[in-house]
This record gives sequence, structure tokens and C-alpha cells, in this order.
Amino acid sequence: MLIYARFHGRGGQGVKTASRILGNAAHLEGYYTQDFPIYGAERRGAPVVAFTRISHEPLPLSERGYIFNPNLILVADESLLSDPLVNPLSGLQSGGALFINSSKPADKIRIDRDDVTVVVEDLIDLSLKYVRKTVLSTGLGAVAAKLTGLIRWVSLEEGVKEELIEIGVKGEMLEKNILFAKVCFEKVHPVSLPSPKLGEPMKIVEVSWMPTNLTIPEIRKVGNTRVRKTGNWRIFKPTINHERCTKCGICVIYCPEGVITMMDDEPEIDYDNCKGCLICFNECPVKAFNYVREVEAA
Amino acid sequence: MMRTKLISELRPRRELASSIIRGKMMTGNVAAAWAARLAEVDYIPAYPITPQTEIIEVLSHWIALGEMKARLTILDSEHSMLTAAGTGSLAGARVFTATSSQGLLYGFEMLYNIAGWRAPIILVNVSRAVAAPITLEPDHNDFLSTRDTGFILLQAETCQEVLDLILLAYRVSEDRRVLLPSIVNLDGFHLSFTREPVKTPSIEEVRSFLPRYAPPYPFRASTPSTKGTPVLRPPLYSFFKYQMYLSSLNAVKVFKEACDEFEAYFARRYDVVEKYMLDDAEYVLVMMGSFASIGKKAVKIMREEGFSVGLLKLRMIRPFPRQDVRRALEGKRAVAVIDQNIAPGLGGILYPEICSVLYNVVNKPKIILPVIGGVGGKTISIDEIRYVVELMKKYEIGGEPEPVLLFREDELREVKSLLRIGVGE
Ligand code: SF4
Ligand code: SF4
Repeated sequence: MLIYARFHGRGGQGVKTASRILGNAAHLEGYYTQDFPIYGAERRGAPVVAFTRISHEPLPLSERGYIFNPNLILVADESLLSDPLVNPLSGLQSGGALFINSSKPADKIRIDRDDVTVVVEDLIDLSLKYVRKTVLSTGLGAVAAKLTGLIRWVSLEEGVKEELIEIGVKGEMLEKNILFAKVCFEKVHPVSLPSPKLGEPMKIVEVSWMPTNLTIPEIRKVGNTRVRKTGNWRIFKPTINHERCTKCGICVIYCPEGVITMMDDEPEIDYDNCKGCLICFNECPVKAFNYVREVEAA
Repeated sequence: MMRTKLISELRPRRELASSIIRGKMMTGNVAAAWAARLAEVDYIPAYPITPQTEIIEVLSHWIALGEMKARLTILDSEHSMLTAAGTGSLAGARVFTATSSQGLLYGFEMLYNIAGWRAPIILVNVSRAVAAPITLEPDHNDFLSTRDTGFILLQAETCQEVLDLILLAYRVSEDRRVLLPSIVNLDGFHLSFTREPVKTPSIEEVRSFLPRYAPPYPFRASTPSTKGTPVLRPPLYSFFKYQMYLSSLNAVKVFKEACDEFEAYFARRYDVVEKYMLDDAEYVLVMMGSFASIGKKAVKIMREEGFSVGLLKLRMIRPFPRQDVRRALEGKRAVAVIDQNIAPGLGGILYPEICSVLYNVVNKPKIILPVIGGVGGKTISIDEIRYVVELMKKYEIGGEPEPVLLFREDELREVKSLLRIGVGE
């Protein structure tokens, strides 16, 4: 029996800790496990991938690194489903399971696969309720542990404790997280997962010299940031009460993304690229800002 | 023909003719400065270090006199100097800079960046052994530490070669098939402060041999671009690095083409390697740099004594001219690689490179002998080279050679007496 779990999320959502909670819980349960994250520049919002391997036999030494053929995928941010650079469903085994954190019901989420079990929960909602934060690590780790059907609550609870204490969570916050984990653990049910198979053989190609105009590592095409809508991982959406606004322009200056502009003397937000940091909300001197939970991905 | 102010002012016309034909006495450092002047470089970021400083002093003097138009800026370190050099090149300038030893190492991470940016600067390194212990005298550990940076590496043996290789380096580096920076290395003292006649070509001839640099995508406010982009997808990194590798391989062919043209212009012939009494030799010494002159002398003497010895001088170190080296050495009875560097835990740096070229060859030499000589500027005598040839003959009969250090009895005596002074034992 092998679990190949792959977690997809964005920096700050707790995907790495989730994979560690799953890894440690399985380890405490007596399985052989390995967990591993991979990320680019460390910033909130950047795509992050993490992996957990679980086996009842010692993991062969040749197991390491990226999992190409997972039988369990956990997506912490629904907006990643349509991100071609992340492609979170790639390699998912037929008969495997896919968990998606979303505020939408399962039938409203477009998934191009009908041979996998899809589980959807609104973990942000639960996290806000139990922890008063939008960090998902504990809930996501608990969901993953339950879906495998291998891990008892005692092991998960211990795993959550160890992992959170290691990153400095303690006291009341730790208790809240354990409660959050418990709720998530009880919400979902184990799924039977196929053993991972090797994918189609990959073809090896020969790379030959190409003209230098193609091979200098630089970006010369201008304006291509427009195709990357960085607003799609926003959790809270700022709104402006234009009646209260005095048009002072302070929010325009403070917005770190530069996405508030004065249009016809009124501040206006470009929601395609607003990341939902709520600095505008904090800085507006007349409290003209409000915010709502983002339920539909931008 | 050549008519620069400096020479025309200092010398009467009759003597000028002789200086054109026979050259003018100058140090390797001055020859390097002349090359930068003749290449009409735009930008010289600089930081002083012995034994390189003279290059910068001469250049700044010429700029002060108005004989050269380049912009020379003293930076606060070699790290800043190299950063300025690379970025200046990306902006479209022809860039020249120079350093030595510790300075090269201090700016080291920028070497990878400059090559990665595909910025074809020329960096002159005046070899000086790396501390500790501290010395000012040369070996090639500083230069050879750059072997994986992506720079084209060229090593001069004479002051004339210093000048010529810098001109050739600009041609190769700026060629679109290569587009990589170069380091031209000259040995401290043995070239940097050694004067010998150097012919300086006329600026008109150099201009037609080496036209103005046409940068492929210069930084301009009107055409914004991102250089040295982060690539957070591993295949992109592999792709760009491998393309850099392939472009560096092109430098062998591009260098040879440039050498043909160079000969047509200036009547001096170069290649990626130089063979000295090699074709019919049975025993071969592989050397590089100024000490190869001593090797040649030893070969000549031993030839007169009836030994079938020759010498292969490496001029291009990166890309490593595998084919030329292989062709020069296959079929020989024995080869000795005299590394003027030391790699603790291994031996010499060039030895494994030479072996790797010959391993898959059917008629490879029976013995390839690893030798370490001239480290920290330690002199090499004819007798030491004779000893190397004797060792080749000894191992030809049998035995597995380990790296040998060239060290003489008089030197050991000297070391012992200095140890008595230094540590009282
Ligand atoms: S800071 Fe507040 S009051 Fe000022 S322009 Fe922005 S929304 Fe209006
Ligand atoms: S939340 Fe406000 S400050 Fe933050 S990116 Fe959006 S508009 Fe700008």
C-alpha cells in the first residue's frame, strides 16, 4: 500500500505544514513516510507544492522528490485549478481522490476528470470559525489524513501538536487548531485509493544549439504581466463606500500593488490584480473601506 | 600605420619605423592596456590590486591625456566592479576590466552572473597565487577557479600574446554564436612586469578586424526588458545553462576563424593550442602560460641531446579544445601534464581534463603523468623538466604514477633555513 499525496496551494496557506502534519501523523501511526515541499521565491500567493509519501514498508531509497503520479491530490486554493503553470491535476491516478478547498458546491467546480473521487469543503470558512485565521495547514492536513483511511485521530492529534509547536504555535491557538483539525477530520470520509502506477514512458530528446536571441535568459516582451491576474488568490475583497470617501488618495499611495487609481476623481480598484491584503482598509482615514469574503474566484 | 600620440611624441620618425617592425618594449600589463585602447572600449570599471594595478594606471593616464575616450570608474570592490562591468555590457558598452587573485575571488559570484546574462565583457586576470599563505607571485589557481563560470578562458605566454589575445577575445566573445565573456590570463611578474617587444597594430586595422560592438538587446529606457530573469521552473534553468554550454563550445570554431583573419591583418598566427616540436615527438609536456617558455627551452635542449620530446601549450582553456588536444596527443608514448596550480585532495586541475580527452582513444599514450610545478611562482628549472621526462620513461615500463611536485634540493634547503627563522625548528 502506498499513498502518494500531493498538495497544491499558495504561499501563506500552510500547504507545507499540511504535508508535514500528514507525514508526521502517518509516521506516528507506524508507517514509513517522507514529506517534502517545493517553492519558488518565498512570498505570499506564489504557488507552492508539497508531497507526502506513505508506505507500510520502508520506502525504497529511489523514492525522492516530485510525485508525478499521485493517488491523492489536495488543492488548497480553487483558483489554482485553472492555472496552466501549476496544472494541479497532472498525473492523478485513475480512481484517485481530489480534495478541493472551495466555497462553491462540488457541482459548480469544473473538473475535467470523471474517473476520480472529488471531495469539496470550505476550509476557509471553518478556519475563520475555529481559528479566526485564513491559514489552512491544520485543516488540510486533517482532511488528508482522514481521506487515506490509515490514520487514527490520536496519531493525527499528536502530529498536529508536534508540527505546530515546532513552528511556534502554542496555548490557546494550539487548542483552537486541534479543534479545527478535529472538525475537519470528522467532516470527510476515507476513500479507497488505487496503488500508484508508473505513467506513460517519457520520450527523451536531444537539445541542440539555438540562436542566442532565444537563449538569453531575459524577458523582452513587454506588457505580459497583464495576462497574469494576480487577484485570483484573494481571500478578502476590499470595497469602497464612495459616499464616505473624501477622495484624499491615501489608499492610492498605500496600495502595494498599485491597483487603486483615481478615475474621475474617485478611487477605483482593479480587482484583476488586487491581492486582498487590506492595507487600503487599514489606511483609509475615514474608514470608507469595507471587505467581504471572496467566494467566487476572480 | 600606427601613429598614436604617445609614440609619435616621444620618438623621432626614423625610430618609429623600427618600432612598427620590431615592436616597442612594454610590460604585459601595458600590452593589456594597449589592447583595451585599440579595442576602443567604452567603459572600464576598476579596482586596484597587485600585480594588475599598472593596467588601470596606464589606462587612466591615457584617458587623462585625452588619448583614449573610455569612461573609467573606480568602484568600491571587485564585486561592484564586476557588477558594473556586466551591467555596462548589457547596456551596450564594450567593457574592459582587470583584476587578480583575491580580487577575482571576491567578485566571484558575479562571474556566473555576467556569463549568465550573456554579457561579452573582457576581464584580464593577472595571475597571482591565492592566500593563505600570502604571496604576490603567480600560479593558475585563481584563473582556473573560473573554469565553470561560462567565461571563455585564454592564457597568454608572451606580452605580445597578451595584446593579441585580448583583441581576439573581443571578437569571439561578441560573436552572436558565442556571446559569452572572456578572461584573458597573464602571469603576474613573469608577464605583468616583464618587458619585451610588443607590436601594436594601428587603430584603423584594429577597427576593421574588430568592428564596434553591436549588442543584441541593449538596455534602453525606450525598450524595457528584464535581464537575468529568475526561472522558477527547473527545465528552464537546465535549458538556458545547456544553451550556454553549447554556445561556449562554438567558441573553438569562432576563435579559429578569428585567428585566420587575425593572421591576414597582423601576420601573427594563433590557434587554440600551440605545438612546439610536437609532431614527431614521443614524449610530450603539456603546459600553459609564461612558464611554457621555460618548457620550450628545455625541449630544445633535450632535442639537441637526442631525446624525442615536444611540448603542447594550452592557449584556450574554456571551452576545452578537446579535439585539438586529442589530435595532438594521441599516438604519443607518454604525456606529462605540468599543472601550475594545486587542487588539494586531487593533484592538478588540468590533469584529469587531459586524461578525459584521451580515455576513449584507441592509441592513447601509455602513461599520463601528473606533475605539479611552479605553484606560487616557484621557478622551474631545465633540470626539473628533464626529471619529468625521466619519470615518463620510468612509468612507461610499469607503475601507477601519483602527482609529483617539482621541488629542488636548493629550495628545500632554503625552506628549512627559513623554517628555522620562522618557527625556531
Ligand atoms: S483613502 Fe479612503 S477616503 Fe481616501 S481616497 Fe481612498 S477610499 Fe477615499
Ligand atoms: S487589498 Fe487594497 S491595498 Fe491590498 S492590493 Fe487590494 S486594493 Fe491594494
